[in-house]
Formats: sequence, structure tokens, C-alpha cells
Amino acid sequence: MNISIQMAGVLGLIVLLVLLFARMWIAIAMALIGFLGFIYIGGLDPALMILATVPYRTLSNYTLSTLPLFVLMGIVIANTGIGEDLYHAAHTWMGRLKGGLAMATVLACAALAAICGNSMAGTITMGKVAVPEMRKYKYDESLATACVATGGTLGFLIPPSLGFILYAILTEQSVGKLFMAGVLPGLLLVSLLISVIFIIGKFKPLSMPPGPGTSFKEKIVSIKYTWAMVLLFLLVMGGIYGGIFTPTEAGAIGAFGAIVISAISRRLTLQNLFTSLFEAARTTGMIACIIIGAFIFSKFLCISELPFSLSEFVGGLPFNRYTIFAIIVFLYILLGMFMDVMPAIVLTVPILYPVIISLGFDPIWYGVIMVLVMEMGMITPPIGMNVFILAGVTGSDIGTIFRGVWPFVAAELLCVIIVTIFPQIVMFLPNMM
Amino acid sequence: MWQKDKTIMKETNSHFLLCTEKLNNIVTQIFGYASVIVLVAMMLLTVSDVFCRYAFNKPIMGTPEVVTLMMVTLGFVAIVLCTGKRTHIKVDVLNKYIPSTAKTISEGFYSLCGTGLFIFISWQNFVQAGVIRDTDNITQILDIPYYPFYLITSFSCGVVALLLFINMLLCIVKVVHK
Repeated sequence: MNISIQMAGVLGLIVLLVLLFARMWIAIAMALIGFLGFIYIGGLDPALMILATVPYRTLSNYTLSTLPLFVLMGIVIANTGIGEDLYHAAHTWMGRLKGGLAMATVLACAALAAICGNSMAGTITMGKVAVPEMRKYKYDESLATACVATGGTLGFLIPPSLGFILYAILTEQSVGKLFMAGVLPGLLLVSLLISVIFIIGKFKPLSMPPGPGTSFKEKIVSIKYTWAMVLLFLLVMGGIYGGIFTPTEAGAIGAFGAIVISAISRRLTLQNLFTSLFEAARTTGMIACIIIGAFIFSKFLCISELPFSLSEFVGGLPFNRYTIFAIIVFLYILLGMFMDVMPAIVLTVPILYPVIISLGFDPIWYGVIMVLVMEMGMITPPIGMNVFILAGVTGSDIGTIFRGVWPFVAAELLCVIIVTIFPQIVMFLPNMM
Repeated sequence: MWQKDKTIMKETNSHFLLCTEKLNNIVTQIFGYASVIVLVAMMLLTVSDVFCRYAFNKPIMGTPEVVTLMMVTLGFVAIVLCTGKRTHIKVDVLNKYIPSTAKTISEGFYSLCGTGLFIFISWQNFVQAGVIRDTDNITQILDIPYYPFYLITSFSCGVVALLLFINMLLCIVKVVHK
């Protein structure tokens, strides 16, 4: 049977999806299908050459070294309990307001997102600290857990974000510009989430009673351990923005700074340090393997000419480009419901990125939208990853958490719409660099 | 879960499998320490470079080159670590709908696929290391030869293949025991 190379690409994609949903390791599935597909189209020798060159060249990338360093920074902070300090500071300043504890949770999640690159750290930390506190003050369980699940997703949008690093590597965009592009949408989303809590408080005041009042002295004392982290964030991001550091250097300074700060604040034990280092190395291995698989798979897609054919096909459709964009956004929301952000990025970028570029959208702007939309998928049923993680941490019922997330999902959708109508919100800081 | 696996191994009295599991743990630990050392070195070198650049106006020559080579080493060594710990990422959407025997059989099959794939990668990188050595391919600033890093890649991928093979054997024992 002789099938066209494009059809081979489509079949490869279908088999890959089947294997992924049958629980094959993502990295091995992508590399295997890429390798076998390449043999089918290009022959054995070129396919072996792909295995000889792609894994090494993929990791032999200075930009990629940003990844383990920012991972280490985030893990040190998560493991040493500094995230709890951030929550207590926000709690002390805002707890007295109606819905103040929920607002403090979102703010603490945003602060933690600014030093950790993933959503898990924020969700787990705040799940352990903020949810019991909100329960103590008789907050509605649904609201209390939903604001933690949603706040946790900020980790992927507010820099340093592992999602942005991965996207930058796959598309050869600037990590620094992507980091800067995430700042204003991140702040916009935080303010929208706080507005949602404020509005819910207006309509259902009993669901979020105010916490205890605190004196000015207590407020000042609460920032004793957090100011250093704020300073570290400003140093890392300011350094990238001002061109003082490369993102890799910023990552190294961030990781080193996090270790020093946690040591000075006596949060760091030798055990903690080793656990963090091992965890960072393991995470690096996981991501490195997926990136290698994605690159081998994208070589197969390239030789199958599928992305280019898809770009031509989509470009020839008699629709406005925003209609196609809306379809892609919907696809990402759907994917986000079933997959974690990183696998979804490696799976879709090689196929959809050429389409987006052919439609004339900015790649940096698209990267931000993609992460923003997939964040939404992480809290929507049936498989909201963050909701599952939070249910495990807090013992809450999954259905209860899902019931509470809808107002926050609406806020995230509103954020996507605003950022689509006003792309300047994304592009302002990168254009200033 | 791994406690359960150990129980199965003890019950089946499979000395060979107990040894292979022990080998898995030792290899994982060695590669774990190696990756931690490289990670710390990478961080310290980069921080020192920035410090020397701004404090003494004398950056450490060739830092990006060394960091890039360290990234290659860290990446491949860490892949061994996460393979040994069985923490590769997978999509778990249908997890609760798949019977445990089917899960074990499929995991064994995937481990077999992975073993084959990593043997190919290991072999090809070993061949590539020879080509790179013969052509005297070195870095631009510090003249570091590239071929040892291809050998590290080849060796690490070989070890990953071995660990996946061990995992496959374990899956077979689990299925047979059931």
C-alpha cells in the first residue's frame, strides 16, 4: 500500500495520540513514532542519522540550561517553606477584608509564581496552608479550594515559567522576551481573579467572612522573610529586562539566591538541599527526555510536510484569521483538560506553530495566549490537573472544587479575550527590551 | 507500589530479579549524585562568571561553552535518574479505566519499545563520537573536544536501555505471578 507522505504524517499523529492515551511515556512515544515514521518516508539510514544527531544537539543548547536552574530555584523555595511566608504576609495585610483570605491566597500564589516556574508548587503549598486557614474562618469549601486551584495556575504565566522556556526552545524564540511578555497578562489575571472574589463576596457575603484584624506592627513583621524573595525576583527579572544577565545567568543567580536566602532564614537544612537538588535533576531529566522526543517527532513531521500542508490549507480557508484562532484556542482548552501544560506544548507546537505564523500572529503573543488558555484547561472538568492535585492535598471532594472554579474560568477567559483584543498588553514589555 | 513489587519478587523467590532491582537502585543513585554535582557546578560557574564580570570586569572565559557541555551531561545523566525512579511523564486520563494487568502488560511492552529505541540512540551516538573524534571537532574558545560528550550520551542511553529492560522483566514477573 502506498500512502502519501502527508497521510503518513496524519497516521503518525493518530498513532501517537492512541499511544499517549494508552499511557505510553510521552517522550518514548514521540521519539518512537518519529523514528519509525522517518524510516517509512526517508529510509533507515537518514532515520538512524536523526538518532545520532538530534538527542545530542537538542540538549547542546545554552538556552536550555535556563531550565534546570529555574527548576532548582522553584524547588528550593517550595521545599523550604518560603511559600508559606508569602501566604502569611498576604494574609496579615488582607485577611481583615471580606474575602480577604481568598484574595491573600491569590496574591500569595502570584508571588510564589514569580519565583517558581510551575503550577504544582503554588497549588500544593497553598493547598496545605491557605485551605485550612479558610476552613477555620468558615469559608465556603468550594470557593476556598477553587481559588487555590486557580491561583496555582499562575505559575505557568508569571515568569519565570517553565512553559515559556519550553516554548522558546521549541520555536527558537527569546526566553527573556517571553518572560517579559508574561508579566502584564499575569498581573491582569491576578486583578481579574481578585475582582471575582470581590464580586462573589458582594453577592454571597456569608461564603467568605472577614478574618481577624492585625496591627501595623504585625503587618511589618510579616514581610520580614518575604522582602528578600521580592528582591530576588526583581533582581532576576530586572536583570533579564535590562540586558544585564542572560536568562541562564538569571536562573543561576535565582537558584543561588534562593539557597542563600533560605539558608540565612534558617529554613534550609542539608536534607532539604539534597532533596531539592535531586528533585531538580529528576525534573530536568523528565523534561529533557520529552524535548528530545518532541524534536525527533518534529523531524518526522517536517519530512511528512504535514505542518506546511496544514498551514496552506488553513490559510486558504474562507474565514477570518480570528475565527481560526478561536478554533485553536478551543482545541487548547480541550487539550488542557486532559494533559499537563508541558506535554501539550511539545505535542502541539510542531504542528500548530507554522499555522499561527502563516496567519500573521506574533509568536511571542501566541506563546502567552497558549499558556494562558492551557492554564484554564488545568482547572476545568473532566480532568483538571490542578484540581486533582489539590483534592489530594486537602482531602476535598473533586466535585466540590469543580463547582467553585467556574467564576474563575470565566475570569481567565475574559483575560484571553482582553489580551487578544489588546495584544499591546503582551507586547509592551518585550518591545521595550 | 515498589514495596508491592518487592513482595512479588520475594514471593516468586526470583533471586535474579531481586538483583536486577538492586542494580537499578544502585545505578540510579550513582547517576543521581552525578547529575546533582553537574547541576551545582553549572550554577556556581555561571554565578562566578557574572560576579567576575561585574566585580572585576573579568568574566570567566568560555563559560557559555562549558555550561552548554554541562547541560548535555546533566540532561543525559538525569534521564537515567528519572528512568530509574520510573518518573517519566505520561497521560493518565484513562488510568482508572484500565485493568491493572493490562497496565502491567502495556508497561512491559512500552519498556521493550524504549529499550530498543535507546539501544539505537546509544549505538548511533557511539558511532557519531568516532566521527567527531576523527574530524577533530572542538569548541571555539576553549578547544574542548566534543566526542567525550557524545560518549557520555551513548553511555547514558545504554544505561537507560538497561533500566528499561529491567523494568520489562519486572512487568513479566508481575503478570506471570498474577
